[in-house]
Amino acid sequence: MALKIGIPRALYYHKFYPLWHTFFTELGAEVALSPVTDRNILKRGSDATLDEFCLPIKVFFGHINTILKKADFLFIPRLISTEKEAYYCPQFFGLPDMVRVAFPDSPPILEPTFNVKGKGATIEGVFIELGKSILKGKSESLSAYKKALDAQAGFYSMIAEGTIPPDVFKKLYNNPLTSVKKEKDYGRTGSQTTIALLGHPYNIYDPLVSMNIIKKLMDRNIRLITTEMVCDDIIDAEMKRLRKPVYWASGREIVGAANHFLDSKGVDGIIFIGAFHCGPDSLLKALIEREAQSGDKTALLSLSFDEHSGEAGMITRLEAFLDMLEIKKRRGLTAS
Amino acid sequence: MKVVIPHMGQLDIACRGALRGLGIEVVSPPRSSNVSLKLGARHSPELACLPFKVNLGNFIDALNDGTKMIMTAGGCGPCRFGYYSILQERILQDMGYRFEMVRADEPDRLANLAKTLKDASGAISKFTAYKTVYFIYKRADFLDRIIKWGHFLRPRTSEGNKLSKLCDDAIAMVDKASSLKELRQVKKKVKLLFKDIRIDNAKKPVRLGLVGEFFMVVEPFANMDIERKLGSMGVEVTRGVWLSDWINDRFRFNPFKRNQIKLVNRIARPYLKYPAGGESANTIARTIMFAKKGYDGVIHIRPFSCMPELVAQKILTKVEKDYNIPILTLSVDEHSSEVGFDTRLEAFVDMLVRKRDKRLA
Repeated sequence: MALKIGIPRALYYHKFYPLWHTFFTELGAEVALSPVTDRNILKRGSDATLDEFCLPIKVFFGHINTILKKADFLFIPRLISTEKEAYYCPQFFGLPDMVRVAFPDSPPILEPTFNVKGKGATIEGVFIELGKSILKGKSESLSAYKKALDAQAGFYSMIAEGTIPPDVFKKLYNNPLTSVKKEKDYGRTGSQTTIALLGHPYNIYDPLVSMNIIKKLMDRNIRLITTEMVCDDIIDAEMKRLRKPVYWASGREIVGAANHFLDSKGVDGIIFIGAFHCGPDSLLKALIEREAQSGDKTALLSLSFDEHSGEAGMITRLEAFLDMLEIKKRRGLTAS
Repeated sequence: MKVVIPHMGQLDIACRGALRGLGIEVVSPPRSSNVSLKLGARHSPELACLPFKVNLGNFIDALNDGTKMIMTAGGCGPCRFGYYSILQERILQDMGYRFEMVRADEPDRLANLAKTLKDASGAISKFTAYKTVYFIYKRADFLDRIIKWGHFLRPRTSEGNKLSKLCDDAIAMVDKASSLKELRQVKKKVKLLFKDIRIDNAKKPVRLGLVGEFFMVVEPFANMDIERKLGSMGVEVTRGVWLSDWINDRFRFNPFKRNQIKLVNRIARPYLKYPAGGESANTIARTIMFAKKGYDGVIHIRPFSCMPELVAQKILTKVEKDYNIPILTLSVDEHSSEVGFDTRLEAFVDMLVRKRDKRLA
């Protein structure tokens, strides 16, 4: 019988799933993915953590809880740095350790440490080690890793074309993600309103955390650009303009994209989604908001979510923002 | 050149005498108070952690008093502290203040500290910078020792007020010393003064470890003077973090003292395989060390929503059971009330005393 690797549908699942999925299936393992986030999962997560943790971490613990009994191994990578310039959030450093404390009866945890800032560490080496821990040889792991990289690259190119990640996952793995119901044509431009939806991938793409904001916007026939679609060159150029580059992995992308869209008139509006209690967000949000208020910039709506957020309040703010964009556009105030 | 350094324990005092020789005059902002915190909090992002708000309050106070240069430290993550200064600079500029900010973005590296000092004072050689940092270390080391004596004496003496005054006087004397020679003379004097405090050897104080986020542990305003409070309740406090250790771990001025970073990372490893930034590994390791030394309890203090300390807190729930040591976690922000804080401290100490008396009986 094939090994079952439990992967929670939370945190960096939303960005690295093609890589992980391909790697494990290529090695002959089976991937047990937790279901789509719902209230019950969030409640289980809140029970297993402390109240001051941010919403996505609570969601993550809820997902772990649902796959405890269904997997032979849990896959919880310790993401420290995957590029030289940036760290992940410190809470990611201790995720496997916290899971062990929260769920003493958890199956063994596969916890590869990704730290390219460390001495001599390569991502390739981490995957070979990871293969070793499920009793696979070096060459097997290496070829699986190559295929996984291709899958991840394919995923990135689809995003670059304008497909949002949940749709890509739907296409690739036939995942029943609730955020988007029907296929949409992303290529359309012209009179269509374009909005940049910025925030951590695990906030934006999770239907419960973001209260399905992607579907809400798409139903209103709005073209979306999310953080992952902005190319690295733009981010790097924006970082150079700052007094000091942001040193969090997705914080870099968010601030870079936000500053880019605030200045360029490529989009009609920007929506920033943050999580209550997210450490990096608390500072970066202030930075983006202050930038937005300095001079003639693109309109910005910043929303912050926690487990008590009411959907009605969010819809009201969203509608008000969209109405404002509409009025602005009609008056010809936006250049596009 | 007048330069302001935000309050963090005795950091400003440690720096002042050492930087005097470089022509930098370190001004202490008015002692942090609820007024300055309110002011800082009003202009800070609502969910920024407490040190951010306290620091910003200090800066506003200092700029109002006419200081034109701010000196502060940064860092490159993963904790929020490294990005403080960028946002604080922006906020102060938006408020209309004109000033210059020099920051050490890599306070771990001597070259970077030297560059920061150069930015503030004009040309200085690398050797001078090294000497200056060494002098800061020596001062911080002695200031920490004064505090340690206070920790030992306070629960054992009935002359609490005299001791408080003595500690303050001793710190003021260190403040005035502007060379290593003067510092040595001050040390001799202070040691004699501390012999004056009468202690009651019959008293057997409860022993408590104090761990947590660096700023919260060393800054008496932020932790509501927890050390003196516990001391006067008859508790002997031992700190888990020291400014002098922080400097020595990075620059090894005293090579005979163990590198605390390596030590705590090793002890914490069974629970936390990779330190999650900040003082997370230190918090876990010190708690284990206190438990092994037979301490009666541990107080874990951190700012509200502190990322590394939350990881530590989650893991401490297991350490607490494994080592059977009571832990009280205090999460502090600008809304924390001192009365509620005191009540929890008193209840915790009462419990520890009763537990110990039961064990001894």
